[in-house]
Amino acid sequence: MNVLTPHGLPELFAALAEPGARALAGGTDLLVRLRSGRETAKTLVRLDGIAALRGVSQGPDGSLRLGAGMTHAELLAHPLVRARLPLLAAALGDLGSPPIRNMGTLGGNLCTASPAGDCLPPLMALGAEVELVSAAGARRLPLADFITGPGRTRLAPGEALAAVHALPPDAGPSASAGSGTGPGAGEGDRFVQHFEKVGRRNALAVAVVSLAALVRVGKGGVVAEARLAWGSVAPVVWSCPEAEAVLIGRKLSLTALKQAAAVVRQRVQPIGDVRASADYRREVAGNLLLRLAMLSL
Amino acid sequence: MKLCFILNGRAVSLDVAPDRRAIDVLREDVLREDVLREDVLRDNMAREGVVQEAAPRTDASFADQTAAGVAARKPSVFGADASPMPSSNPPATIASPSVTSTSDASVSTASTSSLATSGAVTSEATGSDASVSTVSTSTVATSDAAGFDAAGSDAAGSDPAVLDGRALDVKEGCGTGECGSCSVLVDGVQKLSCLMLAAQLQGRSVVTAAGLGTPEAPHPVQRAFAEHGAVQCGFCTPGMAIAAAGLLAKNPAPEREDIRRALSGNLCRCTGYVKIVDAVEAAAKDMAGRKQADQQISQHIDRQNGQQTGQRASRQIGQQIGRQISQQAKQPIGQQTGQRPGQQADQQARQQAGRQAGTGDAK
Repeated sequence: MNVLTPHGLPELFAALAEPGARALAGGTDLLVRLRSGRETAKTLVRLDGIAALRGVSQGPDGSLRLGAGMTHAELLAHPLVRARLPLLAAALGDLGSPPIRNMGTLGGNLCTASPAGDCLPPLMALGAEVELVSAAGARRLPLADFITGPGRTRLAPGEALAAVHALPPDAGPSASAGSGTGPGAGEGDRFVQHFEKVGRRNALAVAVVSLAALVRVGKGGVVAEARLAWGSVAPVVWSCPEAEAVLIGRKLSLTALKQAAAVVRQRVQPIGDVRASADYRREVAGNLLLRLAMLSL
Repeated sequence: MKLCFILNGRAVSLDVAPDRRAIDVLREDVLREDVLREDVLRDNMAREGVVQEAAPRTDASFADQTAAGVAARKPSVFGADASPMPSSNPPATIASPSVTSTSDASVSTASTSSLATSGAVTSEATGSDASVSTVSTSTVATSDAAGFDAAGSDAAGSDPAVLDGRALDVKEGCGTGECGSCSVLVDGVQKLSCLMLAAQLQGRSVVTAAGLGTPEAPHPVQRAFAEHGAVQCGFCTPGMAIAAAGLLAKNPAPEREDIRRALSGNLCRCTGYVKIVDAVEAAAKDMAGRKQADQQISQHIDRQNGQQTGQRASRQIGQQIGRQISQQAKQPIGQQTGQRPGQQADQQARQQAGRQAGTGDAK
């Protein structure tokens, strides 16, 4: 097996063109699979020496560009991520374990495309986009289109995930002040942001069910917009427009949330596996919504 | 590939296939030393005076300086206790070859591409034997040997060669990143050596539990683990000590919840964690409050002038490796592929210097 260490994008593309080449980011998933013999690679291409895949920066529209090569710990420690993307930060803080967070990368988490990937629900709720680069140039895709199934993405051969672009909920024309408003948002809107992961234990656990919730509350405490994204209950991150619709136009009360949760339990179709039964997942998927009642006061 | 890194304060240079795992490489380096006989160590000891003067030479090759025996090895009380290598094992039975033909197995091949890489090396070898060749066996140090024996290497007697097995403190538990047992600090950050490749250690500083402290001057974490009974079977202990030391280096005054979180990647199935958290808490107080540990350690270092010199030399070598690697990184692969494994580092350095002079800005 070869290990290549490119130091820039042109070298990266040349390396990825080698026969049997696979990109190696943090290695916390790929090396496990390679060691088990379930997968093989003739050539591993390290991504950790490429500056274009690093860093966190803020665009003129207030959106954040998160380098795909950033480790979870680096993102978690980044002031912009903590301040502007608390939903993602909450998920990063629950991901894996400290050494896994020190090794694993954002790009790796997305390209692994596990149904239980902890970064996926918050980034879906945020409506994030992925930036893909190849010798042919760059393109952007909504994350929802990028991940097509368990372990499956639209990453083309020779292509690498360079970054994730996410618009902070409160970003807008005057985002730099941190008090701006998003498109369609009204004055005085506030955001309820919540991520919660249920696993068999707190650390080093694959999510049994996770929920990322991003709710915009407008005048009079009435829900103007709700984006809910569940992990580990479907082949890809699952959303439930019907449950969101239950919440819109109402206060974020326990009554409203219970009705939405009932809709969730009705519609979600999780599988049972070694970590939890399908019934348990269905129950928890609904119950996680109820937590929002505590946060909306 | 020629792998250069700092292991527990000691410069290491190995020829190793890049796809070897870090945990293999860290053990391999130690096993290499196991092969050393007492006479070899004695030679090194005898050379030490000369070596200490020679080490700072700026024109010395990396290999020379490595052989010069820079920093002392520091066996860990924890790494030592949990998996002692039977000292009755004759070194010859250890699997790692002390001398291997360098078959051209690990010569780079990507000459058609324009990759610049320090890790772009191909190994056709599948077995570990073929992919490893000895270069400079980095042995050393010796001022620690006596203290080590005193610290209880029962059967070791006066045979310094037995100081081996102790540094096999990097333990593989699950091998899949789920237990934390094989934790090491890479540039001060806790990582799992079972999921790292040798290529990823290039130019880095690696600290294992054996590098945290010595039996006579243990790291406060090691002392606290022993004093608080935070060790039962001991298998998780080196990884725990690494995680705790990594935490305290960044956060000298953690709350108990901080400690729990920081150790949450390290599984222990004996202690129930309470005594471990107690120990880390005590270590933090020890480090912050009493200063006693620091004084003892600095006194210890003062007593061992040789070691102090070694540490200085180690730092210099670290800087030199850094320069060497950044030079390599700037060169297109086509020019690097001329290198053959097994060549001495100084030859490589000369070649690189020549190429750089000839090619100007390579990238």
